[in-house]
Amino acid sequence: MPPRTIFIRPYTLRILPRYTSLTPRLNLALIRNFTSKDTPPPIPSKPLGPNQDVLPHVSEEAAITADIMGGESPALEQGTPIGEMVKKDPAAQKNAPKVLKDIPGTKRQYSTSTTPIEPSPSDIPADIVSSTALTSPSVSSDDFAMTIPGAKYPLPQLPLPSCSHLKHRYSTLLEQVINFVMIGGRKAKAESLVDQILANLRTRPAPKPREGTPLLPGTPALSTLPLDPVQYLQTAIDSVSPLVKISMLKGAGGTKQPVPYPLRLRQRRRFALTWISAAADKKKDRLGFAERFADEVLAVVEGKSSAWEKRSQVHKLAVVSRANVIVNPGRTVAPSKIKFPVAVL
Amino acid sequence: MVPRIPWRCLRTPPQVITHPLKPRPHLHNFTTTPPLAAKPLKAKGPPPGSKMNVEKQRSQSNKIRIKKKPITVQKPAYQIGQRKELRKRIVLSNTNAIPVVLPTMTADLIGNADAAGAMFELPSEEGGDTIVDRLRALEAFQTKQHWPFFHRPCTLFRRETVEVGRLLERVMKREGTEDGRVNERAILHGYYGCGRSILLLQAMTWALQKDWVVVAIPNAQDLVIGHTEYELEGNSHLWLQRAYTTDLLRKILKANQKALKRMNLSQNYRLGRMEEVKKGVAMKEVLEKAVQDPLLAWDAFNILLSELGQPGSPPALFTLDNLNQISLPSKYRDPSFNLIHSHDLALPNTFLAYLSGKRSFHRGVTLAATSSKCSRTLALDAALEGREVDPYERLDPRVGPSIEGARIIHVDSLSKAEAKALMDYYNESGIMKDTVDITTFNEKYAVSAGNPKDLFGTCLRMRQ
Repeated sequence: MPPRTIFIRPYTLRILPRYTSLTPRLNLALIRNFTSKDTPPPIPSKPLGPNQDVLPHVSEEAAITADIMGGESPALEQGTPIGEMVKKDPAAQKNAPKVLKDIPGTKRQYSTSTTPIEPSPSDIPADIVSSTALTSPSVSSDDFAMTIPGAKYPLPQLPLPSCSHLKHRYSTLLEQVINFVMIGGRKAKAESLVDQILANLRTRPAPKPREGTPLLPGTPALSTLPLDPVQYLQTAIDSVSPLVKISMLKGAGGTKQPVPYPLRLRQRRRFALTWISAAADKKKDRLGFAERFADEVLAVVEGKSSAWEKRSQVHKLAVVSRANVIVNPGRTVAPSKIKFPVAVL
Repeated sequence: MVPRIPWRCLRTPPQVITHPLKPRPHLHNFTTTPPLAAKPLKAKGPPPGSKMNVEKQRSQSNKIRIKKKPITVQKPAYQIGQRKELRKRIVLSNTNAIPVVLPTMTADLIGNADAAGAMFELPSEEGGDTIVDRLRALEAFQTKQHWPFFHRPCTLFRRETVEVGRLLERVMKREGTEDGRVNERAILHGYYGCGRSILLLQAMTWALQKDWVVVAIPNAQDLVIGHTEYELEGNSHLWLQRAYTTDLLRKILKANQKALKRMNLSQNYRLGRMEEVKKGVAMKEVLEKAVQDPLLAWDAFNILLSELGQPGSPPALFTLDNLNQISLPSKYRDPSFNLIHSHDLALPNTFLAYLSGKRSFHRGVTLAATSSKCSRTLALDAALEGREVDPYERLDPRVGPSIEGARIIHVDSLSKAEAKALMDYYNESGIMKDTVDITTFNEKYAVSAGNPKDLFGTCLRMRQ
């Protein structure tokens, strides 16, 4: 047994434990220990002032009391004027604040509320939102041309959506497909080809579901896919994409060892694209690229494509050679960073 | 001084010294020793002490050298006309799209300003041929007009549609007057993708419903690019395109069966060199005969036009798309190899005669639409703008007078109400995913600047 070191270890010098921040961490769920587990914690919508949220309203309190005691509760909708309550209760008369004693029954002309009063929702014109109603032949009024008064466009909703970045406006999948299709840097051509693929997917008959096709869990009904061609393409690509790649490492005695490596999302999609386009190019009919590709995407979703065989081949080999997996490599992905296609759109 | 020793003596003597007069010894270039007598060559390989398997090594090295040829799939060749068919195929329905319930574009709506800004579907039910089939026969639908995305062909009723409808209305209303000769001539002009061809389609829809005779040249480019046969006619000095005219007659016959059956000839006509058609024969029979024989086609076409000029004939709609194409020199050549002017071709010449009012129907509308997919036609642009031409500008002097007197309908971008109707239609058809709220609407309207073609792209394409 090694002798105990007498050196002071660095962590003993720390004043605070490692993850403690200087402000006390308040866990709301831990604090409310007298409420039942079923009721969710109250969500404060506005910052509360010192005099707010002390006790419920007088008539509400009376109603709760009446509930418990079995008496008649006051009408909550109408509310009870404080003067009435004070009149009924002699104890309250004694303890009432001075203001109430001095001028009973009068109302203040000014507001004592510190929180700003929000405008009522009825101010917003209601007819601008009604958009998807069936169009009647007489669309004479130009209601829709109305905007919010004073500003040309409404304020954007925060946080900004991911597509609002200038350089990452489009779906990552489409960007990758475009770059995959591109030859010789002709991006505009590639974009128009991908547009054609999507248009083809829209107009083709919907794929028929086939049993045993391992589509991604969470795929929408196949009959709805043609109306959302990006989803269609994504379903096909992410479903056939392999989880691992096999690379052959040199073993002892001139042998080769198949070693499965996990793939990142982008890498997986690239494999799927390669397989799909290879299968599309083997078609015997004379078709344009977009038609060929769209046909193959349809075949993938229906489970007929040869890409599925390639995928299962890779997966089988990976399972067989699972003993060769390098557990802590320098260059592969940490298991926590592996993204699964379901989560990413 | 010349040395006494000659140079020759210093040379090395030849291997075999031969006397010039004696026969030379026979020298073989090869050995006659039998090959078995020689020792076999040793294979190049590892030294005899090494343990490597020579055979295996050889086979491996062979494997590397031999390159397998990639398997090329023989694809069947295209049939004649197959590619053109694929290119021109028009799909008018999409079963994936959600059907939208819309009012039908009936003939009551002609010139109805209240209906502007709403979507209408093209009439579907009718006895026998539907209107859509007849429009298809006239090639009123074009590719790239986004028909294949929707469940049924529907169109937007616009302000310009009202104007076009007024033309038809004016012709129809003067039916009762004594000298009922009414002719309306107009040119639809505007920016690219603003819907000129669709306006022609809407006019045709109404005309077919009202049993007019519709004569439509779907794309004037086909007339001038030199793809059809042509020949000079002696009398008029015009170049006839008999094959194209036969095709045109076939289209007219298919689309206007009912109206042509009712039309009877008012006088005797010559048809071709030999034949003659007599008074009282139905127009349909004349055309059916002409469709069989290209030599009769031009005469039959002329008979049809002159009959439409007679009182008592049904109203006519004569349309031509891509007017710019016939304002340029054609690709045809005359015998002295000069380019033939498009106006010297018989069919464009006839159309322009109707457009400029030189010839006229008894009751009829002549409609032309300009095109943006054409090389520059400065003369036509000047004529459409109606501006004075600078004498130093060398413009084609024949173009200006050819469209003289025609009303010019400027097709503008969509108004907000129209764009809203269109976007709602996209949304209800299920092909546009975004809800049409005020932000989306303003964004898409601003990006497309109200241009219908761009609006479609903005709403439907994944990336704009």
